[in-house]
Amino acid sequence: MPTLVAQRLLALVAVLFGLAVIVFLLQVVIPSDPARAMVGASAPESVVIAKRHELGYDKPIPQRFLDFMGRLMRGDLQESLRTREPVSKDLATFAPATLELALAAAAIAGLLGAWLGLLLAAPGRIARALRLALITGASVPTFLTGLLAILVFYSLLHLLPASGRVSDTLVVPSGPTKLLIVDAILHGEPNLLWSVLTHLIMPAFTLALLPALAIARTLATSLQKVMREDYVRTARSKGLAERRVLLRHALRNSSGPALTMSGLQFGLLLGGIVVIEQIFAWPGLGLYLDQSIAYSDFPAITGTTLLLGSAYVFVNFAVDLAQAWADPRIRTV
Amino acid sequence: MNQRHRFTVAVLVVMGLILAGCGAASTNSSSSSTSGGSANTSDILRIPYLADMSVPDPDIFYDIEGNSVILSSYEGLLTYAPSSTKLIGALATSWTISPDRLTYTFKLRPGVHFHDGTSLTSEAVKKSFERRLAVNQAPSYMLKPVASMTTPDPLTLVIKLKHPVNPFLSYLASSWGPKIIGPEAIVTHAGSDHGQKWLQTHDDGTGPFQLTAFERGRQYVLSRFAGYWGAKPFFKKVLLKITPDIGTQQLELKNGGVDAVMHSYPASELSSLPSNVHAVEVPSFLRLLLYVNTNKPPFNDPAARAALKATINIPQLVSGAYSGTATPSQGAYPNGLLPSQPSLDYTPNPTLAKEGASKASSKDITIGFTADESGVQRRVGELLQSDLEAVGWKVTVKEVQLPQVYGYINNLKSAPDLLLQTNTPDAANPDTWARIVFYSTGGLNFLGFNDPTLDKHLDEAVSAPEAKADDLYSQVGQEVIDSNEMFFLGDVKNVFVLNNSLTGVEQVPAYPWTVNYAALKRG
Amino acid sequence: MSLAADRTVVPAGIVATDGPEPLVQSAPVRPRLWRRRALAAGAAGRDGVLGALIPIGVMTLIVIAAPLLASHSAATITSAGALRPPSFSHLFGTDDIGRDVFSRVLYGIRESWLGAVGVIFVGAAFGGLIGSLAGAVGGFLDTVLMRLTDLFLALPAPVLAIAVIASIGPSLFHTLLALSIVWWPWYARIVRGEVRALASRPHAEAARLAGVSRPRLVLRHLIPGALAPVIVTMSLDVGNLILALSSLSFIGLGAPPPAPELGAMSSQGLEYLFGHWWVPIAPAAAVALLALVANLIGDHANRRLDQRMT
Repeated sequence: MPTLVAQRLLALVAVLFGLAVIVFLLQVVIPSDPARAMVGASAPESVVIAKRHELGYDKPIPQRFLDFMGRLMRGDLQESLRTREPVSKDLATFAPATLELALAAAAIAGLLGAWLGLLLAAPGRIARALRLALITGASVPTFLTGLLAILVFYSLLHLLPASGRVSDTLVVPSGPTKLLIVDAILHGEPNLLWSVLTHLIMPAFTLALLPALAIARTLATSLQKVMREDYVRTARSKGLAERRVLLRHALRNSSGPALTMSGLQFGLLLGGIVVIEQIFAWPGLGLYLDQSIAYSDFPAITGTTLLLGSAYVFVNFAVDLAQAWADPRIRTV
Repeated sequence: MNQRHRFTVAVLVVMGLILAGCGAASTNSSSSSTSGGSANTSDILRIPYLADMSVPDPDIFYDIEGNSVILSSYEGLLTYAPSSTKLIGALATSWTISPDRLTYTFKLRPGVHFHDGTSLTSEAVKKSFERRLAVNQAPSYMLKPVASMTTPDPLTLVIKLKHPVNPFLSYLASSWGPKIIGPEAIVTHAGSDHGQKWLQTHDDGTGPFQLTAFERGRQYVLSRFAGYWGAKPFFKKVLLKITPDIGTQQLELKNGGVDAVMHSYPASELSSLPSNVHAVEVPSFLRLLLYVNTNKPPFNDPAARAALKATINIPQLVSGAYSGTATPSQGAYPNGLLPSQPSLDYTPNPTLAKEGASKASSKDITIGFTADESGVQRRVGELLQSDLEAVGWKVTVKEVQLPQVYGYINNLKSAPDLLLQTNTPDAANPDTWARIVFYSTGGLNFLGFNDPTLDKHLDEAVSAPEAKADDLYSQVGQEVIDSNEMFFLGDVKNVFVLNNSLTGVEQVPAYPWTVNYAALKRG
Repeated sequence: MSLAADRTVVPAGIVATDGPEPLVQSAPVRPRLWRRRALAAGAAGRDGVLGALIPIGVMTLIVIAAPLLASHSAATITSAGALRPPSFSHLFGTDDIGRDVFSRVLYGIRESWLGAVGVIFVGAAFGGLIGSLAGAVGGFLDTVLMRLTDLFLALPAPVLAIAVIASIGPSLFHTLLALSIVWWPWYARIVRGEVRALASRPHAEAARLAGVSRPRLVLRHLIPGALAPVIVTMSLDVGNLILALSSLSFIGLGAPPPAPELGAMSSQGLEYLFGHWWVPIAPAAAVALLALVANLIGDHANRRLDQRMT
């Protein structure tokens, strides 16, 4: 196991480097004029040239790459063309909202996925009806699900707020974690906690829906497969209750593909934040990325890509280790 | 930990999470939202923004979204009278211009306070103007002709220009024009960057509202400034909430979560608004243009451009894309900037259109447009495509990003053949339009329109006596129209959709998407 | 963390029950068993493949023929005017510039289905190759290939899509190309995982012990075994891809107008959701219908596969 961890860690560093290279190449490839975009339409050409020089966009590409990597090492992601703040500072501002949303969505996706997966795996008419319902649910575009959810839970039922992370009249505490649920508990503010939870539910569920269904289907497929394995039959023949067989033996052994799927779905979830954050006006990285794309704010796009990409690499690193831990076969082959 | 225990722990954790989830869900169902009911009586005004603004620094800011933050917290020397292009005093009460049109003397309004508590003086105005030049961003061009500034007394400012500049007073009233910034920003927090850092999240103007919170991605809070010299605004607070989806905005407006949607409300939905809101449609200077790329075939050929002109059916395009929220353009300039201007002669001629298309050196053309939330440019692009294909062109419509559009000038051969853009002049003056759109080095002259005679006329006009200048601007307009290198499609209206409880909509056509928050009232 | 200690005696694929399941030393009696199971897996694999490919083929023919039912071309602006509600002459009404939504949806079904199937086949073929190589060969190659895979998975798809589209110009084809680039790693991961798990199954162990060569083991036993999850994923992916296209369109990176791509139609029409619902809902419903059909095909294939296995 320690060698496995070391090996994966090494690979992790390599992947992060590769990510940096690709992200840099994307910057080079895109044909637009960030310097002009920054100083505005009416600025004279001399101002544009000065800006271009200041940003280092006039240097040869290898030099730019070295500059880029050097800055990365120092944690310097340059200044956003739009907000005029260091990108690292912007990311620190926007990341907690996304982290909170992603954690909530991942928890919902995992639980909902496991629960639905177990339901689906059981034979019978209910499972079949459920499967149809799930398939239909998984076929609706996320932005439509989001808007319809707002239409129903906000506009018709007046149950949940439609936008933002917290009610607009509440003052958000400045720390310590920036995760509002945690901060609200730490500061002992029930009103704030309440407001945060009501704001979180709809976007988190909408974001979790597609990953949950994918996890459920993968889990159900491998569960059905495992349930026919010899040892399960053996367990059954010993007179163990079906539920016990399912939970004690089958679930564990079929969790591998579902776990892989969960790791992969985390990527989908990160992709989904752009859409979800836009619809629910969630002040996170997706919103930041979307606004940056519209502005061709490449330092910001690069920074966000690196952060989301690294988060994803780390999660799958963890999934890998978890899988190795749960299933020793993976280590030996 | 052995395997059995591990599994038990896992199950317990999962159960704990489920319980926590149920707990949250059950407490949730006992609540009900209160945001809908209270909005109509509150002295808080809630307005959604589709996107974050760049920075609330008046010497850097040069976009449209964010105008209302600048205009609520800062004031310039001049402004426009409501619903008009007439210049009136803001922080200046009167002004005189020397006969040689080089010396401007402004008398400042007494009793004006900055948000930091200090009083407005001519020295502060001078410092603000100097800061704009030192920061040297896009809007600094308006003060570039200034030769010197003197402050004979605390309420008098004398500005000397290098050469006569006709639109100078218009600059001072522009939405992006020089604003007067107080000493807290310029002196106390000056740092090494003229206070740019500090002004990213603060303001120090004289306006009716003070920027008291600037949370990027969430909301900006404007609070009523107790020391304001003018009438006290009705609203204690204005919350500008970043709500990037127009559908969400629509639903929140309907349910009272926000009080007004100031732009991009889907035009086709205006005829079926919910009963608790109403729309106010007023003219603005925003206009939709079609740029023609004359640097490559087929439109380097005047005959091909003439055929293009014969194809475009402007009334149909404008009504199809804007559903009544724009009118077909009348001339090369927005309406009301010139006493009279040459009119456009766009009459569709199918025969000529077909003939021109069949003779064109290349039939494959590309139309570029930039995405806007209301999809207007996309619709115009598609309608145009349909018209052009009907006469024999083969058309690709493509969406482009604004910075890409700025980059076209460096590589015109790879730029689209036709480009749709919505632009607005910086102020209500023909020069602020012609200089950026028609001049060979103009910032919004995206596809390299270049006519040396026209440039000469514009250089002449900027310093010429008024009547002569107007003639020159008209002449320039005619030259642009005759070139068929730019087509003027529509003049777009400001459409404000407001909760019925709001009254007192005060606006100016030169300030797009913006309503004066200080004049808005409930009831 | 010492995990290996309490797990070493557990035979591959078997949880530590105290049942009579034979341990590894029973290898001599296993060959017959592994041959039977491997054959079953192979046959079932073929059956599953056919069970998915035939309906997908039929569906492809249907969508190719669908535009024959269209009353207008996808780009024609009809004389009925914009935003007309559904009627007999325009079954799904007209859109914001007066095109017949029904006809556009029929063309859109074709575009979206063919696009999605194309991306999936490219992705599955390429990803499957990488994944089975990595899983079967293992070791250094596995590490390299999988980290390469991770690298591609690590890139948030929208940004990669923007780069590709911005550098080669927008078109439906380029959008699909961009999607293929971000899609194959999924298959690589799934195939690799399956191949590795299968390789450690008793029947593969036994085959190895019986002297079956490695390429043969991979080709005859591991890959057919890995086909089932790939097919499930592929069939699910038709819907997923159509959804991915629509999400890209939603943030302005999808198929450019006037391509009658369902996702683009539905997201561009979203502003009419409250007043002229048919504009976004008709294409969205078509997306749902296509995804439903695709999923049912996947389910069907999966069940056939399972029945043969047992």
